[in-house]
Amino acid sequence: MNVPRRRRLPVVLAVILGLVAAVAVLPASRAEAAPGCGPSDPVGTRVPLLLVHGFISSAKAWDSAVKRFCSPTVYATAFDYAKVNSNWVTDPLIGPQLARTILALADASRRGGGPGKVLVAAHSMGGLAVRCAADGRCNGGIGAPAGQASPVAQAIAAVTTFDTPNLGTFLKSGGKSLVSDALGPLLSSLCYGDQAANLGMNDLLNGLCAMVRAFGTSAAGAAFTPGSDELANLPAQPAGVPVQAVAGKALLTVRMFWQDLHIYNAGTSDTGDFVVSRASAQAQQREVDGFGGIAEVDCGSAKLSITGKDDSKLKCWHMTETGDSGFLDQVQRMVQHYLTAPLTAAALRSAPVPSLCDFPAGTLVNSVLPGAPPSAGSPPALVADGSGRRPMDTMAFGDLNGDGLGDAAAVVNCNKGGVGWPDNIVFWARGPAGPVALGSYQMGDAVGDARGATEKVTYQPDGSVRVETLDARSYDQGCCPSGRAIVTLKWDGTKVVASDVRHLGGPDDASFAGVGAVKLGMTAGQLTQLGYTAGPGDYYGCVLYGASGKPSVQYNPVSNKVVQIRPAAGPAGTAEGIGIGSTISDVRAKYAGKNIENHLDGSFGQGMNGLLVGDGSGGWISFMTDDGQFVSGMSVSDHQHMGAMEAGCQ
Amino acid sequence: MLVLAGAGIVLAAVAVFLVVRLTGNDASAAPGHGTLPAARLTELQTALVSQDPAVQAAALDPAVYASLHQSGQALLPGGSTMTIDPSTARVSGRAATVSATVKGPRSGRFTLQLAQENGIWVVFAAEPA
Repeated sequence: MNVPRRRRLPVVLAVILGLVAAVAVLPASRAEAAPGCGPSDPVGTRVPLLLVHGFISSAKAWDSAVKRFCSPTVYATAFDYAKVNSNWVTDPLIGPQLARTILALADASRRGGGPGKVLVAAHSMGGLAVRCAADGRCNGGIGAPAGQASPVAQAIAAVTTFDTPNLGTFLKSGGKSLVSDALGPLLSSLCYGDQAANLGMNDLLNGLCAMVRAFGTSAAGAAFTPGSDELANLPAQPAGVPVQAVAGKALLTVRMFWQDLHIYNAGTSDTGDFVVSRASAQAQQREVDGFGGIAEVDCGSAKLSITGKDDSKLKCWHMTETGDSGFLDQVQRMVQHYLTAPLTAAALRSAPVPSLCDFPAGTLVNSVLPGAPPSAGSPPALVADGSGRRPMDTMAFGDLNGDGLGDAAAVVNCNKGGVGWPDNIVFWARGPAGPVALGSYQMGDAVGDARGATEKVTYQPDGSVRVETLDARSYDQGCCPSGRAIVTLKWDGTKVVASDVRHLGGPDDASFAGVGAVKLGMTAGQLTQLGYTAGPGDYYGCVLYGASGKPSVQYNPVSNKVVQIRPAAGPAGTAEGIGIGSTISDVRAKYAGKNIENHLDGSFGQGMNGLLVGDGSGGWISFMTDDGQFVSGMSVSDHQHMGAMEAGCQ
Repeated sequence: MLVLAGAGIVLAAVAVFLVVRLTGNDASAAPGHGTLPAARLTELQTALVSQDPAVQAAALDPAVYASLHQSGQALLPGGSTMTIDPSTARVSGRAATVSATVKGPRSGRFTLQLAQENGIWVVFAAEPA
């Protein structure tokens, strides 16, 4: 190539830069490749999915499933016991070895920052192997001393079974029903000797005959007999773990001249997947927190024929289920549920909490942060349990951080001993392993010293949480908040904040209309209905009405109206937060814009001082002061009977 | 009835997998001819057109008979006759096919499918030829 020297430099540079760019891109491409699910691939933060094959099968049966589920969010792998696949599940290489595998996967997940729990999908006898693996009585006590709960069960997040013969198979009735008597001669002619070779060209028949031959000679085959001791002694699926029992639903027809006949079982349509009945497959189902229970897959129908015309519409049967999309969709459903299902109350009871009340951050156990000595006070705990407050009022569920997943907020209380402390509202995001603590809000910042005062938290469609709470006024005793407030909490991306705090009037607040239920202008009859009675004598014509624990009332019999109301003894105040002990300056500030009359010159009746505040409605609030600085008394009246009510009712 | 129904389940499970060609590439494995007892074929061509349930039951696989009974359908219209052609019989072990012609209110040619259960040949399907 004859390139002028002056032009060679740019060309060389371009080539070099191109090579550098290519080299630079190469590692990046590798880094972006989806992580694998081989033995040397890290589990990391991914959810482990363990696939367990069944009778006379191997891990290869799950090859397509591993490919389908292995992803950046799921570590899918298959447990293999092919060498002993016709032994009963108590074989050391089946149940016990499966237990070790589950624990190892859970541990790898925990160390990798993942959920530390394993999702299990099991086909046929694999589901029985899970039952053995999860119970120390069957797995040989792996991971826990005898008599203690098996950690294997705790390491399982959820189980999906495909036609597990929990009640045995109806192909192996073992002489306990006449079914086997009818089946025996037919199978013996089809599956043994030269006849088997003649008919062996059909894969399905091969599979069935292999199963039938193994039924007759294997330990597991004997155990599959309905009512066998092995099935009776096998532990149930682990308590508290959701079990989704998937059953194939297939129909069999025969052509009989001009009609198709459905062949049913004893008046039902349960022919299962032709090996395991639906009743047997579904016997161990369990729904927990919105997942589990029964699922059925339509396997279509098969036509009984030996003419070579295979016009059946069979989509699946027992031995094809591990590669069947309908069945695998149910595993997908389990994975999706575990990855994205909204948080639940049960999940919060073992949720992580941030540092609260000077207790370190940690993880709740049965709703309480464990490990604190009794002298340390009360560690953080969900108030839903054992507090007297209704759980439904102390938790709120919805998307709090805008990621589309179901997050949660809940009331958590704690203290360091002595008196109680105001509540905390903790926000959790729905993480891949369950709840992840986002942050918390100390309700004392909004409602003062209102201890344990949260009454209800509610999720709002805008992603906020509405907190209805008692509200401590400035004049309240520490024990007894007299006001109410509505606080709106939001996650702002970095912390939980109160985006709005509305202090509401309390039931006995003073207002321009009256005090609590007692209003200016009420008649004697209305006072009587409120439980009031007239006192003896009168004050220049005014009659004093009283009722235990209620505001005292001056009533004008001439006009038949209440003219003045004084709050009952004890803390008293207005909805604006002004009460006895507030400053005169506070009164002016809170009622700025109202009509404020200055009576600090001894003109508030009988030589008293104070401020008179009106809103134009005809009602006035008197704030008396003894020292000119702090409010020492209050009343609500018409203008004539303000202050110390020097005016009578004549 | 329970026995029949139970047998139905089992037979159903097995029969699904019996979409089997009786002819194959391997000549040594090919099924033979004419090993169905002629007397049994005669019994069958009479029994299958009978309107007597007990007679039908003796000719049919128990599960098939139970399903037919449950459906309430007649096996063949009353007044039908049947002719089985023994020369078309193809047998492999305890499974066999043979051609039959039905005449009467409705007419047609069918391939009867048989299984030898407990030593007795019974019909479990009859597909249009």
